[in-house]
Amino acid sequence: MSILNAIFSNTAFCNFDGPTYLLFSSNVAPLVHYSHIPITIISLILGFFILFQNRKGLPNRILFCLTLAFSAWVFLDSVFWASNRSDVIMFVWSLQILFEPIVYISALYLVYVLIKKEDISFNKKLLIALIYLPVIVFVPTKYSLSGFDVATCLSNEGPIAIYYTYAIEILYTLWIIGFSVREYIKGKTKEAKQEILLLTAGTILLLLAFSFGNIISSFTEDWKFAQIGLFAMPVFIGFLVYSIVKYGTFNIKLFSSIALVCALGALSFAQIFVQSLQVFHIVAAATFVLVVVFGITLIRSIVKDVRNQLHIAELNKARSDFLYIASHQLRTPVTVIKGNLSVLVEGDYDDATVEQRHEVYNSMFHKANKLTNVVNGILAASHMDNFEEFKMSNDVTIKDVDVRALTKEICENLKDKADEKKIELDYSSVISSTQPIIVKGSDNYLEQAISNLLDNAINYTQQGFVRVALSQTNNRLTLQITDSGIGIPVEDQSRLFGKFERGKNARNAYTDGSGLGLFVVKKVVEAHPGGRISFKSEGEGKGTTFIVELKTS
Amino acid sequence: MNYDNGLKKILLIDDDADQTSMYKHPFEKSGFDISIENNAKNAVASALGWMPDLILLDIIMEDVDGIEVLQKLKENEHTKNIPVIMLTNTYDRQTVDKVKGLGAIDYWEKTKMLPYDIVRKCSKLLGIS
Repeated sequence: MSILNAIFSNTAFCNFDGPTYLLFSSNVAPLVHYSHIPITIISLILGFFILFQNRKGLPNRILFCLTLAFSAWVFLDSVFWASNRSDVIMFVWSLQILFEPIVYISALYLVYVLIKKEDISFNKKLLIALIYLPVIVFVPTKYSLSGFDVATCLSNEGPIAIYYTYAIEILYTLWIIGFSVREYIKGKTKEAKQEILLLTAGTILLLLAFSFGNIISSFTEDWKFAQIGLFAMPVFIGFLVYSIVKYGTFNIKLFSSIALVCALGALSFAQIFVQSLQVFHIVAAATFVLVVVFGITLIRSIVKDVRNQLHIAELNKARSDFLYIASHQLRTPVTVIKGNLSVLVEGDYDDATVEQRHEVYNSMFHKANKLTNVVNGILAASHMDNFEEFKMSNDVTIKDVDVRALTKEICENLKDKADEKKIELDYSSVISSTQPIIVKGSDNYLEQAISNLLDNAINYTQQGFVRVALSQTNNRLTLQITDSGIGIPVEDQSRLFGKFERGKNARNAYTDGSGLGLFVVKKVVEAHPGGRISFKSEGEGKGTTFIVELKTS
Repeated sequence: MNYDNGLKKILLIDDDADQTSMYKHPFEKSGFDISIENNAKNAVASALGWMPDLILLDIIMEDVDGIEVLQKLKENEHTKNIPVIMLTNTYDRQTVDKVKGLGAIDYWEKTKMLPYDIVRKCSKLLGIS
């Protein structure tokens, strides 16, 4: 108690009433409330939002830290404005001095991590911390805040508050600029350079908005005007959040339009308070509303545009990747068929043995088979690139499909193939009942998917069995195709459903595969209601189970 | 080193056995000593062990990219002077520029050349009439 008494016995009171609920007092202009309270809340929400998007992502964590420091700063600022007690003012002011550089440090850290795509080295972290350390050490001393002036209701600032914090904030900002310039020069592609430019410009603007109050007030003593910067902060933070969540980085068009709208919005909003005549209040308010409405429209249209551009870029990349591999897959069999035929025409094999000739015929036959598979696979895959396209394509008619009857038919069709390979094809669970299992979907595509899975199971099994099990519980059907075949090596499991991907051992076991089968199967299954496909394999040589789940109706 | 038969030695690196067996016969018939490497991982070792006069190298292979093989061949002190020709089923301008930048002397498209066309071009290149 004696310590508290000691503190409070020195308390001075300014010339206005104390605050209610810590934040509201006659000393606080409405603008301060408008700028501080919602901004604290919005920033906190944004901070938690980004954190929960990806709790382990380093950029997310850094941005969370930035919003936390910023919100704390703004909250403390509103307490500072409302309070009439010297002790409270000194206390929150000191905390603000403590939190302010953290915003800059977070910004530096964020820029570094987003550009380098890796964490800062320990030495650099140490350097950043060492620069900040004097603030922590000296904040409780007279070097930070040296006294209190009751007449102005402000603290007297010592060298730490006046010079050191500003100096290190400028230093961190210059660090960001220096780092970005170096990375910009090193940047290999135009896109990489642009990304660096945008990210840096965005961050510097964010820091400028944050220090806007300090800069303006130190020149003009106009604390009201100084509040405008705070309005821009959550927008920049929101923008950072949006960028990180959506693209991992920035987009200049979006950024500049948001900046423009915010600047106009802040200016027109401030006009409402600056004007003294009632009629100008109305004009200023109307201007503000117009700026907000058109600003939002502008930003939304640009967001849409940016999304489209990204989508087109993704599609183009996917298309050229697809063409590159597809052309290889299509040309290889043609090369072998044509090349071998030309050698035969040259008469090279005229004197060869029957076996040698058969080998050539065989290799051509395999390649012709492969060509058929690849052509069919490409045609099927081209329908599958997205769900909407699949549903809208002309050759799809959605109707009630009896998966039991369909599976039975597929098993019967492939029975001969299994018999030939002396593999036991067991589909007793499919024919154990005649109760239909109805799924809303395309019978053509479902047939293609199921027979592809079963065909795969037979192709990749040298001996043993292939078992098809069908069951229905509640509104879901489960189709399991288990084989005792080559299995899927662990390293191939993650990319099994990709285009033109084939397991390492699959290529040796069955050379005619197109690498498109499972890609198409997955697309077909997922395009159906409640469709899910998964697989289990203990690894190479240990067999595989594919599991298809669909919603029944 | 094995120069005893006096034949020019060609190393064909391609993972597709159907294709390599197709090229083997015409090369042998035309008086080349051809060696086939179906496993791209062993490509550099094969080149080192056999020291061919020319290497024909595929690009899209299952385990190792042909461009990577080219890079390794050019980095190796002993194999860097062996001429390499990319023999492949793909074509795109960027890949052509890339492999030429890495030191491949030419880029041939398999679909545009029959096996004997390839043999003829190799003969010309190695100075065999």
